[in-house]
Amino acid sequence: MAGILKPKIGVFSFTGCEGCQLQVLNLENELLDLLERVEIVNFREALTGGTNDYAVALVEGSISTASDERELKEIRRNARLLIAIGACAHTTGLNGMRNGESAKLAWSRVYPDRAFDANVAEEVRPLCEVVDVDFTVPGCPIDRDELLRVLTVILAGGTPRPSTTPVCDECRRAGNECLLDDGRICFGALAPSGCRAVCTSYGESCAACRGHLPGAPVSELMALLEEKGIDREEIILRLGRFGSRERAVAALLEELFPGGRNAQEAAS
Amino acid sequence: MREWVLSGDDLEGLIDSISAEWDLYAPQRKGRLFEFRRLRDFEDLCIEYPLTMIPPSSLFAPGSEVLYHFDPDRPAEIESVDPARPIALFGVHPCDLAGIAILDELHLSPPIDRCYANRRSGSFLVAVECAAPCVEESLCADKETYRARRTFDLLLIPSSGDRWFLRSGSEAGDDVARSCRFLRPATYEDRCRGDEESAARNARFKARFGLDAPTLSARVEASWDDLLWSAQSRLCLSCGACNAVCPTCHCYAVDDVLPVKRGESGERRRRRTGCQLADFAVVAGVENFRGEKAFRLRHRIFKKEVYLVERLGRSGCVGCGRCGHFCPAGIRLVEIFRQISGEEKVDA
Repeated sequence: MAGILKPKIGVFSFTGCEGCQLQVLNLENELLDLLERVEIVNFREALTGGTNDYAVALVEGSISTASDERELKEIRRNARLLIAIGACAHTTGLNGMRNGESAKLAWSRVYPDRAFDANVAEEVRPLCEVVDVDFTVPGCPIDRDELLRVLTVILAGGTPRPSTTPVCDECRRAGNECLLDDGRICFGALAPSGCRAVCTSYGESCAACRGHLPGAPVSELMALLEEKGIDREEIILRLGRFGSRERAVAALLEELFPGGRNAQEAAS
Repeated sequence: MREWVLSGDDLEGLIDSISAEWDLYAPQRKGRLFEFRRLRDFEDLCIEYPLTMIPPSSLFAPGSEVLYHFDPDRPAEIESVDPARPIALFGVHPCDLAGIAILDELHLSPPIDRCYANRRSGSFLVAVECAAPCVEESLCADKETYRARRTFDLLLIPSSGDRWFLRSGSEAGDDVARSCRFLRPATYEDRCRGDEESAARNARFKARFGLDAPTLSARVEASWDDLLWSAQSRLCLSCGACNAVCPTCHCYAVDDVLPVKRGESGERRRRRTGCQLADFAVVAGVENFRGEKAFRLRHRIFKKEVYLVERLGRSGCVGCGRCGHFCPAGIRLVEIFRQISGEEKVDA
């Protein structure tokens, strides 16, 4: 459309499976309408080449190397708005599971025959621990409609509001039985809604891939699950999959692995 | 009072007559649960169901709905949503009927809730009386909601020998009954037998506490500083299940959904929410005036037993038992009332 300035968007990727980038491409019904309103200038999964001239950066992946950190800081300098997309960018997601043991030890498990690459950082971090993040679209992977909601609000000059209600609310209203009643470990009460309770609607437990709500009832859920006879260690390990960056979970992991996983390794 | 007799085989004929005019929703299985959904095949009907998790009133007040459409460039001009196709609910239990009556009172008197009225007006309700309390948590005897007295268009009452009594409660109910040739008007003998059966059924509904609404209300009000609220909410996950399954909970939040395509209209949506969710009482972005679980649980019970009693002259709880039955943390209204009233009249 002539005369209307289209904001330039860059889509960037760090440590992760790149599934959230694919979710952007999966916006098949809306992508052409979206491209009437924005210009995508950087997008590894969809474009060759790129430019540093963009106003909005959508960034997926965790920061797990020294070069990741340098590149992210450059993106932050270039972009007026930086939006973290997906669990890896938001909370480190599954990548955070390697924290708690040394990078060298983790490396040796995965690449036993290759020399350690000094570029690998001692700790995997979410974007917000490296730069200021303006908005977050959580989840593993992100929900396409939620991304659209965030983008349309930004394009209208507004401020997107994160969800403040738990997955349980969406799940129950979708007519689902509670998985906790069957003695299953489910973290719906901890995580913010916005995913349409897609996992639990198909009978799969919520892994809290969308992070934790402020004041999430971790201790209540632990007590309830333990009263049902579920092994405390099992609950903590599951919480640690996506939640290692949550303070309450970090404390529980410390209880399970005093001094980090290396200490355990050294002792055994 | 117009009353007829029909055999179990004639239920399908009754449903067909109603379906000719209304989109008919009836209780059907959903996994181990039951839910009201469009009845496509008579074989799917579960007329003898315990209780649905989501109450039938959700067909009038759905979890999420469009309030109106707007043009993002001219937000003052709103376009209302088309009137809904009239629906019939078939097989509503008396407690849920009482729930609908409460929502009617709240939403159909000024200020009228236009979306609720849109769905509710022209709807058709077929109630069915219960043979016994359906779940351990039922309080329908205490709340006197185990018999259907009003609000229905037709009422089905189970009778022996695979027969039903059908009672009409409205002109629309009369019209449907008149169109059903297979109905036989109830005779004096039928009625005598019906009364006997009814008395036998009533005996199965025993009040646990024997407190009338004003007395319970006064006792609840006196419990404000009681430690029971912290004790009872110890394991509360703030998941909001009790709100989502309650037939009289009616709180909501409003969100705008903006169009992706330039020139298309946006939606102002209503999303049901509940007072047990941790963020419910957040104001001005940060201040939460019910930041503790105990305050939230207390508020839920006060809303039903004090605030709505003040407004409606009767309890806002219809005793369906859902909030306790579906609470993952095992928080039971029965237990709360037991502590508030000091004792239980009969064993549960």
